[in-house]
Amino acid sequence: MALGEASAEHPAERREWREEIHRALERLEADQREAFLLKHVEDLSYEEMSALTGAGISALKMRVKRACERLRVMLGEVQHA
Amino acid sequence: MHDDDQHDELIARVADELRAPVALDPAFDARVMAEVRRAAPSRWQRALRWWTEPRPLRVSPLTGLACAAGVAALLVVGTVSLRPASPSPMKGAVATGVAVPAEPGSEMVQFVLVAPQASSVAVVGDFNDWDPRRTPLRAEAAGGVWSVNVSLRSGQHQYAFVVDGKEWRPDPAAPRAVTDDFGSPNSVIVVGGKST
Repeated sequence: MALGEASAEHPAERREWREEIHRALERLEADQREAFLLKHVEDLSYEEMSALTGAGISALKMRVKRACERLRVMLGEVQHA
Repeated sequence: MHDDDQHDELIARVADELRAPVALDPAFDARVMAEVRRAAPSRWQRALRWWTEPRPLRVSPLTGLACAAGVAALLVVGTVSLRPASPSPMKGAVATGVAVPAEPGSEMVQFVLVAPQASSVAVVGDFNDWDPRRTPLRAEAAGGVWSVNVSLRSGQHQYAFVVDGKEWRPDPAAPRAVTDDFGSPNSVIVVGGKST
């Protein structure tokens, strides 16, 4: 079973999946990590993110897009490993 | 397209995982509280620390000056009130016998009488055979204050003042003797804290 599908019934696998996520996040650029977390974890709108970070909306969209792409690659490799 | 959906699903799972609350060891709270209780000093320890630990005090220069003035005033008041010979504004006679430490077995006693009208004052008592010539008092600079220092053996003594060589006066500031051997009221002083 892939790590990304680990469930609560498999705490060890779930812990490993979580660790992989954190490792991948650490490898992102700081501004991409910030933009990804604000958008997908904190559920902020781009307007709110812009007010919070001072960055322009288009720059934030680009950071989120690149963060997602890199996470897909890094975690996709793990998932299909 | 199907691949993109799968990847979006991946991002959603990542976000879900990051949003999930971190599970703590159930014993974590207990361990933290035990550590806090161990580190927290008791009420008595806090009180002791408050009294014993040095700490900086912030005092304005004005407050410091006021404290210094207060201490100086206390010293002055204390010194003045300890002087038995301080003249009283009362007209007439005010006197007292005050014992001060001298050689063992006896003490130096200062007899003081305020008698502005007097030209001479002496103290007579059982310590000088009631002889007015033996222990004259000296007049101080102002206020009609007369005083003399006499070394008295420990015990109870009776005495009186003789003003102008004839007027027999008890010490207005001392207790009177119960017995009066010479027909005039005498005063009593106890030296060394015990009576004979």
